[in-house]
Amino acid sequence: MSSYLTSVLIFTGINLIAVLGMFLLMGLTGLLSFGQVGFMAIGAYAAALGYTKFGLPFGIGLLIGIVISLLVGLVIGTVTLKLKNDYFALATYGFSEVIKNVLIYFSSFTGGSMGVFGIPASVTLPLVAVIFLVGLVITRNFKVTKLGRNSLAIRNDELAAQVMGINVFKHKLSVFLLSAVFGSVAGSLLAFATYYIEPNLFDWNRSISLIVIVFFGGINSLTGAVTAGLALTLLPEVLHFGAEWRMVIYTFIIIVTMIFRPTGLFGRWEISGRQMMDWFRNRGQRSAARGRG
Amino acid sequence: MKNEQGTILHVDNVTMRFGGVVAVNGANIRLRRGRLAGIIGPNGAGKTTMFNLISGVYTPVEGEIRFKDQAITGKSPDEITHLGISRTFQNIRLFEGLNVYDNVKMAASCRSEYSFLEAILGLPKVWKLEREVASEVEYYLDLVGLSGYEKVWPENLAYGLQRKLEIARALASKPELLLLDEPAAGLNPTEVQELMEIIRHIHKELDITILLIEHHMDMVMSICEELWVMNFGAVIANGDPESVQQDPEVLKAYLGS
Amino acid sequence: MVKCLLLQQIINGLSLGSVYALIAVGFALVFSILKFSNFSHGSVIMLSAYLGLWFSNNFNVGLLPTLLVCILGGGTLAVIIEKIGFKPIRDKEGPLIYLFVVSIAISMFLQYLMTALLGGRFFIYKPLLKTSAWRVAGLTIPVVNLAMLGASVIALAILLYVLYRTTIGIAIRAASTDLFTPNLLGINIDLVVSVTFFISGALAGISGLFLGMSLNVYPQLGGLVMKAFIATVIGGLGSLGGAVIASFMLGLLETMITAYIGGAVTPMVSFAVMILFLLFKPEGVAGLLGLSSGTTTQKL
Repeated sequence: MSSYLTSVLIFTGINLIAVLGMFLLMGLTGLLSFGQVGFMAIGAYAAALGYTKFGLPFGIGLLIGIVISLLVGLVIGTVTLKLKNDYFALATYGFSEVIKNVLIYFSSFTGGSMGVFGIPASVTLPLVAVIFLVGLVITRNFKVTKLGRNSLAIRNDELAAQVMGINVFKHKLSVFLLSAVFGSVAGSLLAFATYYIEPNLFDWNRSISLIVIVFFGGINSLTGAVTAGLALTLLPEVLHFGAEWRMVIYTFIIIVTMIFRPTGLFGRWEISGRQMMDWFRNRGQRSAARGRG
Repeated sequence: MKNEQGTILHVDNVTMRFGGVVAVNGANIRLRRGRLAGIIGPNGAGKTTMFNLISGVYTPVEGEIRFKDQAITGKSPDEITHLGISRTFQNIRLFEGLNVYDNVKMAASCRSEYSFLEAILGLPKVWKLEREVASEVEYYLDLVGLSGYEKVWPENLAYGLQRKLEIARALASKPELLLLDEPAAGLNPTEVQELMEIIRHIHKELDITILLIEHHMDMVMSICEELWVMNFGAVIANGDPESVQQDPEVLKAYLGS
Repeated sequence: MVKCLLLQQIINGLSLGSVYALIAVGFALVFSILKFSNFSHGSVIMLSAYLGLWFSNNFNVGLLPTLLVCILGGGTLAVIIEKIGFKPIRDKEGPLIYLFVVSIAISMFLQYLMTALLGGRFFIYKPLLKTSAWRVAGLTIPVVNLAMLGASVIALAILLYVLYRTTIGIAIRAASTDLFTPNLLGINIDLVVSVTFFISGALAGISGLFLGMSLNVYPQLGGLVMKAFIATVIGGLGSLGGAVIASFMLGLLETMITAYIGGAVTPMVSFAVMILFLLFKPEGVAGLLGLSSGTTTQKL
C-alpha cells in the first residue's frame, strides 16, 4: 500500500471514530452539538503535550485525554444539557471556542497559535482500524440495547420519554460523556498521525463536517453514518478538492438532504449480520446452480 | 384505618394555577386499590391537568398527592413511573423513531438491570435480560391485540391501533395504577366496544387499578365502578355511576342551567 | 486622561452596540415568528455588503442610493432563502432544529462559495461619507458608527410603525404568539412569513452596507451574527426591545473587557454571560424590565 493511501485511510479512520461519537449524540439522541471538536482538541493536546513536555507514551496520553474529557464533559454537560435545541447547540459551540481560546492564551504551555511540533507520527493504520472497530461495536451495542431505545424516545418526545420512566437528564449526560470519549480518542490519534497540531485544527468547520456526515447518512442508521463518513472523507481527498470547495460541497449536500430527505440517505436501514449471511448463502446457491447447469 | 390501607392514591386539596387561570381548585380524590374508576366533566374542567399532576408533569401549587401512602408531590415523572404509575396521553404521543415492538420494549426495558457500561460492552448478561424483556413485550402486544404489528412504524398504524399501542406501552412499565387519558377519543363505535373489552380484561388479568378520563358516557357508565365529576377545576361529585348520574350538581354542570 | 480613555471606550462600546443592535433586531424578528435561530441572516449581511460595494463602485453613486439597493437586495435575498431553504421543511412540519441546521448550512455555503469564487480577499468601499471620524475634545467618534446608529434608530422606528399600525404588522405580531393565528384571521401564513423575512433581510442589508463600510468586505463578515444571537438571548427570546438593549450592553461589555483585560477572553465572557442568562433568566433583559417577550412556553 502506498504511503499516501495509508495516510488517507488513517485520517479517514480517525474521522470515522469522531463520526461515531456524533452519531450517538446527534443522530440517536438528537443533541446537536458543536462541542465534539472541543473534546478532540482536549484529546489531541493531552497526547501531544504529554509526549513533548513529559515524555509520556501515546497510550498514557490517550488515557489522560479521556480522563480530562470526562471531567470537562461532566461540567459542560451538566450546565448545557438543561438547555433546549438551538441553545444547547450554541452553548456547546461556545465551549469549543473557549477550549480553542484557552489553547491560544496559555501559549507558554500549549504553544499558542503556533501549535505543538515534534509529535512522532507513530499511529499506524492497524491501530486506527482496531480502535474504530471497538468503537463500532460499542456504538452498535448502544443502539440495540435499552440505551438506544431510550435515546430515540428522548429525541422523539422528551416529555413522553420521561413519563415512560427515563431519567432524561441522566441519560443525556451519559451519552454526552460517551461521545466526549470518542471525540477525545479521535483527537489523540489525530495528534500522533500529523507530527503537528494547532488550535485552529479544531474549529467550527470540523464540527460542521461531522454534522453533515451524520445527517447525510441518516440520523437513524449507523450503517449510513459510517458509509457517509467514508464517502465524504475519501471522495474530496481522491478528487483533490481545495478546502473551500470541499466545504461548499458539504454544506450544499446538507441543505439538499435536509430539504428532500431529512431522514438521511439511509433512513432507518441497517446492515445486519443475518442479511449478509443470507446474501452470501443465496450467492453460493446461485453459483452452485450455475456450476451444475 | 382499614379503609386507608385500601387507598392507593390520595389527592388532597390539590390546586394548580397557570398564570391567573385556576386549572384545578382544591380537588380531592381517594382511589381504592383495584378499582376501575373514571373522571368525567366538561371540556376544560381540569381533568387532564389532574393527570399531569398525578404523573408529575406538573407540580401542584397547593396540596399533596400520595401514592401507596408515599408523598409524590414534586417528584419527577420518571420517578413516579418507577413507583408504579403509568399513563397514556390524550393526544397520542408514541415514539415515531421506534417501531411498534420497540415502543413497548422501551417502556419494558427502562428498568432492566444492566448498567450503561455493561450495555456498551455487550456483556452476556445484557443479551439475557434483553431476551427476557422480549417475551414481556410480546405478552403486552398480545394483550391489546397488536401481535403481528411488531415491525410497523407507529405513524403508519390506524388511529385505533395507535391508542391500543399507547396502552400496551403504558402497561409495559408494569404500573400498579394506570391512567388512561380519553382512550376512546376518535374511535368508532365498534372500536369503542373492543376497547372496553380490552380495558376490562386488563383490569382483571393484571389486577391493577385503572383511572380513566372519558367523554363517552356509555363507556364510562358501563365499565367504571366509581366516578369523579370535575367542573371548573373542582371535584363536584363522587360515587358510583348511578348515583353520580342523579346528582343535581352534575346535571347542572352538564345541562348548563 | 484616564477619564478621557474611559469615555472613548464607552463611545466605542456604543458604536459596537449599534452594529449588534441592527443585526440582532433582524435576527430576533425571525426568531419571534418561527422560533428558530436563523443563522442565514449573517450571509444576507455578507452578500448585501458585496452588493452595495459592487453597486456603489460600478454606478458611482452615493450613500443613499446604495442603501436603498442594499435594503431591497437584502430583503429579496432573505425571502429567496426562506422559500428555498425553510419553506420545504416548514411544509413537512419538520422539527425546529432542522430549520436551525439548514440556516447554518446556508450561511456556511454562501460564505465558502464567496471564498472559493473571490478568494479570501478584502474589498474596500470607496468613501461614501465625507469624513470618517469626528474628533471632539480628544475623543474620536467614527461617523460610520453614528450613521449606523442613526440608521438603526430610523429602521427600528419604521419597524415599530409597521408592526403596530399596519394589518400585516398586526398579523406578524399575532403570528409571534402562535403561527397559526393569522390563518384564523384570514391572513395567509406564507405571506406573513415572507414579509417578516423581507423586513429582516432589509435590516440585514442596512447592516451589511455599514459593516462593509467600517470593516471592509470579506466572506466571513456574516460571522457577526453570532454576537446578534448572544444579544438576542440576553435580550430575551424574540423580544425586539430586549435585543436592542442587550446589544448595547454586549457592545459595552466587550469593549471594556478587550480594553482592560484582553481580547482573548472577550468571546468567553460573552458566551458565559449568555449561558448564565439561559440558565437563570431565560426571559432575559426583557423579562427583567417587564417588556413582553412574545414567546409562550408550554410544557404539554
